[in-house]
Amino acid sequence: MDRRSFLGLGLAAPALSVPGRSLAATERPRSRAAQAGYLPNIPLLAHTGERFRFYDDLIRERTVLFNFFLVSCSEGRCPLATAKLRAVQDLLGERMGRDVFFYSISLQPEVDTRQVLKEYAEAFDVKPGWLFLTGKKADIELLRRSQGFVDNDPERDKDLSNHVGMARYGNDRLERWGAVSVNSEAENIASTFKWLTS
Amino acid sequence: MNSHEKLIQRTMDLQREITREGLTRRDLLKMGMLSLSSGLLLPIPGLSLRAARADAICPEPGKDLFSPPTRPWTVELPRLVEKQVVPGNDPSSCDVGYGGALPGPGVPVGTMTGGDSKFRCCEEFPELHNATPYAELDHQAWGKGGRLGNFAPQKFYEMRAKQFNHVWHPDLPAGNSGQPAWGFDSVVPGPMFRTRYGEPHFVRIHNDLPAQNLGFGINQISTHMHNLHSPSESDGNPLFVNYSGHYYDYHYPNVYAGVNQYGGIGNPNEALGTLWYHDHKLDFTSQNVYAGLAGMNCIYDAHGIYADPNMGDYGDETKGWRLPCGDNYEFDVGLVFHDRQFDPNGVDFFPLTCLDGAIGDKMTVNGKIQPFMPVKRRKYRFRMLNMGPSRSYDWFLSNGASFVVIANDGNLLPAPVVVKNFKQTVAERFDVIMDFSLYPAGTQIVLVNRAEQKSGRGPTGNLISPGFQVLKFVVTSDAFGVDESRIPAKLRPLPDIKQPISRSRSWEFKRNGGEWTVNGLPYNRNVISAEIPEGSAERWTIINGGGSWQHPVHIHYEEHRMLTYNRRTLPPIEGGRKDVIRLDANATAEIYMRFRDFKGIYPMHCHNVVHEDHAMMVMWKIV
Repeated sequence: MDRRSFLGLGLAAPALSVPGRSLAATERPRSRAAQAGYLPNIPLLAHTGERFRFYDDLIRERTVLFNFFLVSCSEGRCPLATAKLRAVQDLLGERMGRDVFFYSISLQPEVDTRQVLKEYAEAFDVKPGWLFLTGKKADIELLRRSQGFVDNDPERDKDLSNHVGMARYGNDRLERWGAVSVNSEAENIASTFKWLTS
Repeated sequence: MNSHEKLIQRTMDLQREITREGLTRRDLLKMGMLSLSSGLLLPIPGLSLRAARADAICPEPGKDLFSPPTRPWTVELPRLVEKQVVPGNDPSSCDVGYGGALPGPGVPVGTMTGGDSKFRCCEEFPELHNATPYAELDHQAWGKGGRLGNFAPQKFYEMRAKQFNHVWHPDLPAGNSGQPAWGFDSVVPGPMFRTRYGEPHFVRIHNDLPAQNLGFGINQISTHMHNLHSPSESDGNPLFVNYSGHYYDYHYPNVYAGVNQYGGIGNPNEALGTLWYHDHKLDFTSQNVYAGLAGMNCIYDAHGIYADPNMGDYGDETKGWRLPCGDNYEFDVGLVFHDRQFDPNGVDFFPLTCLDGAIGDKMTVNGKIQPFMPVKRRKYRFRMLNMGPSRSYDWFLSNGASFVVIANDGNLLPAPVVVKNFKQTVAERFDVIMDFSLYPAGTQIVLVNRAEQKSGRGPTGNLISPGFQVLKFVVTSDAFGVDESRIPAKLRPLPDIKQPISRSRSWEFKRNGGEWTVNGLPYNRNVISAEIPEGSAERWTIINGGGSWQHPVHIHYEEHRMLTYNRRTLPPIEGGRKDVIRLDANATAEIYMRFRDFKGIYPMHCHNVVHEDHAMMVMWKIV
């Protein structure tokens, strides 16, 4: 891999197709959580090669779970979390990609390039409805902070592996947002989707 | 081994290799990053595992975020609405609700029907009725026979959780039209229940909340009665959901702990007094309580429960300990303290993703910002509740007067304790007597909080001066008849704790990898962390595992006695029966717990409700 491809993702990225959902015609305003800055509309690149805006294309009007991870995570935390969410994906069955979407966002986007994420997703045999996402470091830091996955101790905050324990889940249309531990059981995580529908 | 198991294996192997070689992060940094997908080191020099320091999205009130100004002492303190029984106290007048099979004639209240949310909840989460049969969910202590199964309700209540407009202060831009809130019976806080031992009561709570929330909150609730001696199905467990459009029937047998031991209605020395009810929905407690779903409940002694006529808390200032009460509870007053944050436009602000906790720069009492209370020249009993979500107080009076504290966590102490100030963390209750006959009419006394707190982590430990003014008492010359109340020299004796301990357990509350955990694990609805035989006694060690967070730890069901706190014995004000442990940074508390009478699941959790919602909870079971 060429170093340049890891840097300045916006500059060096190849011209990929942009199949983001068009929501220009959406009548409903952005949810209050989005307006309050909890769901910043940052640009992201998926392991599939698609480009998205975080809020408009991935969150808006949807039921989602998203977490942060990095491929080089300490103590194997992230692969274990990914394996866990992979099991949740099976439990959710056909809902995945239809009315439930997963997003795993790299905290180390300069390393976790699209190609790395693609290999990673393939290694976990990830099914449709789940995207691994990379982007600009500063954007992803903004997103992490907006989710409160921050440690007040600056030293602990620098250790990215300290921010991979919780996943945010919610339904943007109903403006319901909770959090669940990715270290919990798959059944426990899957059950959270039972209270996001009505 | 499939592909992702291989990947995990490789990750772990690499981790072990790094450890074996003694490589530090600095070494890795020099070497470049590992690509775990290829198993090779990537030739990327200069990249760090660490990110730049980032500020949390936890605005510090008064620094990062300011509520609009409001004039203090312009709004009179509202009294909590006194809850009344259903018309004629006739259970058949309870609304049967919306969905499901209607309980027609011959299907009395207390028979679970399709309208009862317990049904839907058990359909969606079958493990609930697998663990607890429907017959028991349909009230262990009502119509079941035996010593514990026969406490049929004598009082019937109905309550509705609804959305309505609430005025926190008329100076806010919303003015007198207010802004949306959620609450019971369309008030914030909800109504005050006056209940009595020996008079079991029933509450049907209808959930009329809309699907569209306030920007936070969920229209699924579970109303916890903190900390009544209630059977599990009426405890308001986070798992027992009352869905919108349904109702949930709660049965409170109103027995003292120790029915199995003492017979009758238990041991009166185990009496509770000042309780509160609040939403406890799993993952959403902080949002729903902040929306307004909380209220108070007090419980008085059964008439004549003590042979000694000078003992007993009867809600009558001419009997027993003669605590201030007056007619219609005029001088027995609930005070609910709750801090809120508004944005510069005066719109309710909730820090949806701040994991430390939520604090605000506006102090409300009974739903109003900085109210005043006209008081008569006599004694009052104030039942002070810290509704949270995350602020801890240190209370003082502006004139330097002392508080006469008679109860901690609602439980009367063996004797009143006179203090200049006291600390009160989330969910704690303190009953205090204040005697305004000492002051001439026109005297103004302000209740002041001097605890410095800059974030949801907890108080800094510093006292601020002059402190934050919260509630102003204005002494009036209004007539009140005769003050027949007393400040007795002695109050409720403490029950002995001689029953041998059958087991010790320890529970560490700690932040771990960005999660709030107990004994290293986040809450998992499929795990029961302790199975405890009914009737046993245990010693629990509760540990704050580090960081600078305060964790107000709450254990449902029977209250505890603290044996030591940081290996020291306790001041008298903390020495009674409690249900919240104010676990300051790095503190350790040893407590004595008993598990008597009813069976079923109960949680223990951090009552900084933001921590609770981020998995700082365990479930245990009396078997």
